[in-house]
Amino acid sequence: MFDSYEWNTIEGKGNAENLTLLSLSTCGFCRSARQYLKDREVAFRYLELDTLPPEEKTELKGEFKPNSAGALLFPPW
Amino acid sequence: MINDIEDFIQKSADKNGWALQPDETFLKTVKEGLVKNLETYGYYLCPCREGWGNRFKDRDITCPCDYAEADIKESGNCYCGLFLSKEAAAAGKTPQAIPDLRPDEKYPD
Repeated sequence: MFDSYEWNTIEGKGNAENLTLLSLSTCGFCRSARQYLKDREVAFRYLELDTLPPEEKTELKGEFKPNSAGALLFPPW
Repeated sequence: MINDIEDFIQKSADKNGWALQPDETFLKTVKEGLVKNLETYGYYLCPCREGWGNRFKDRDITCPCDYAEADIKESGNCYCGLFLSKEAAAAGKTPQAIPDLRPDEKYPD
């Protein structure tokens, strides 16, 4: 899943592909979440959805939706 | 543009009796996000929400959003963490990510 995107990968403990963060470049809580993981040296990968081309964003959301209880929200809580 | 956003958020806070996010780093991210959204969409779309790119469809999530007053009353901060209640700010409360009061069906598919 999500394999065809150009992920930003943060190296750390574990496999970055096991922890995927969908975020917005404009969101303070999204940035805080990334910093939280970095501070704990956890490996993860992330995308900023608002920076993607519209078609790519729609495709990604389509892949994500079956795993979501409702609308795709930033930040998750 | 930075002067404009400073003016906009301060006036919005003053008018509604709210305080601004005291964490300078967090505040900078939100302010830059609002400016980016203004440049992209032409209005201050909430920096923590995905919009339609249409000012009418996004009216309720244009800053300060329609949900801010209830969020601040209930949780002490608005959805994106830009505005806090004066009580929460005085208590040094760290803004928390909170549930979104906006109905799911108002978001793009």
